[in-house]
Formats: sequence, structure tokens, C-alpha cells
Amino acid sequence: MIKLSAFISGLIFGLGLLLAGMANPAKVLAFLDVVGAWDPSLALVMGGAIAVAVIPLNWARKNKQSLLGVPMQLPMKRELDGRSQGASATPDVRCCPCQRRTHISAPRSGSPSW
Amino acid sequence: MSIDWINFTPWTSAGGGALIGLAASLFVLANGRIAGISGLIGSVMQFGSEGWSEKALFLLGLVIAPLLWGAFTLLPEIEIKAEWPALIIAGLLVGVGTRYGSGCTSGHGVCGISRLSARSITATMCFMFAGFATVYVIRHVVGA
Repeated sequence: MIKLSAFISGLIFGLGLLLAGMANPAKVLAFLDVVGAWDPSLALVMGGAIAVAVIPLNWARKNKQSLLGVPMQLPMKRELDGRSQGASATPDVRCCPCQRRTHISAPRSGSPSW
Repeated sequence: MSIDWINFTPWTSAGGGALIGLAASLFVLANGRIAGISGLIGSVMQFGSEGWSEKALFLLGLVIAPLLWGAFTLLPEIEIKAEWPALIIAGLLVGVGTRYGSGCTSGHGVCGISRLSARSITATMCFMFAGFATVYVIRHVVGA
């Protein structure tokens, strides 16, 4: 059953990408080219996806098991370690898991690695 | 900034996005997993890793989708202007970048933002900004 749901999920995901026009690299590039002839479609793809997924994913966050009884395997890492924020040009970001709050400050020279 | 109204597809893009959201929801509700494509590909490359068959089946569904689509109607046009050596380099950079950043548009941008992860929201803002900057430099500085 979990194998079937995995396959169906992938299939729906792929059909969504095709319908959204996101199988075409030129359309993705047109979203990233904000000073050229800008195509904002990708923002609507993300908006549509988040609007549908926000309730199920928050339900998942609060539950230890899926509806089919397998353990939830959500990423547990909460801290912003700088890796997912990319290279040196990003601002100095730290997250306090205890306060569930993120501090963002300007990059400093010689700041410790994160 | 000028919007390309001819190529802008608000309805099909939002509809396609809703399908992606539905797929991500089904995967997390049924399988308890995050539908992050770069992460899934990374795991499937490590043969026999945890949840290998489920992840491989998700990706199989993903690659079968165009065949199913094509059985009923015309596939959307795909424009790739780059030559194959550039595509190989670009693919490698995407792979390294998404692994280094712990996720891509699907994992951070859709699933992460949906579960309100500060880490994913920050990551999405960073890679989008980096994408805007890269395309600006390539198209309007180097290619000007």
C-alpha cells in the first residue's frame, strides 16, 4: 500500500509539473529573469502547492505516524547552519530553537563559521 | 520589470501547483515522507538505503507522468537552448547545490514552507535570490 501511494504521489507530482509548465527550463529561467520579460508563473506554482499542502504538512508535523501507520520521517533539524543558506554572500542567520525565533543580522567580517 | 503577459500562465500554473501540493500531501500523509526531489534522487542513488523502494517508486511515477500525459494529449513544448556540455555542468551544479543546501524547490520551497520551517523559508529566499542574481549576471551583464 505504501508502495502504491509512493508511486501515485510521484505520478501526480509529475503531472502537476507538466500542467504548471515547469517541465520547460525556459519557463523557469523566465521566472528568474526579473529585469527581462518576466514570467511570474513559478510563483503561482509554489503558491498553489503551498495552499494545498500547508494543512496536511502541519498535521504531519504534529503526528508520529502516517495514516498508513508508518513512522513520520520529517527533517528534525531546526537550526540555520548556513549550509542551506548557501555561500558567503548570505546574511548571518541564527535560529534559537528554544524560542522558535530567527535572528537575522548583517554579515560581519570574520564571523564564525556556521 | 515588465511582465511577459503572453507567456504568463496563471491558471495552469496555479492548477499544476495544486497538483504538486496534492502529491506532497499524499506522500506525507500516507508514507510520512517529504516529497523533496533532490533528496529522493540522492537517496535512490545510494542503493539499498532506508526506504529505497518507496523513494524509487515515487521517482518512477514522476518519470512515467509524461508518458501518461502523452497518451492523452500533446506534451508541452520544451525549450533548451544550451548545448550538452553546458547541460552536464549545469546538472552537476544543481546536484551539488541542492545537496549542499539540503533541498530544492520541492523540498524547501513547497514542503518546507508548508510546514512553516524557518530553515526552509530562509533557504528558499536564499536560492531564489541567488537564481535571480545568476540569471541577471548571465543574461544582462555577461550576455549584454
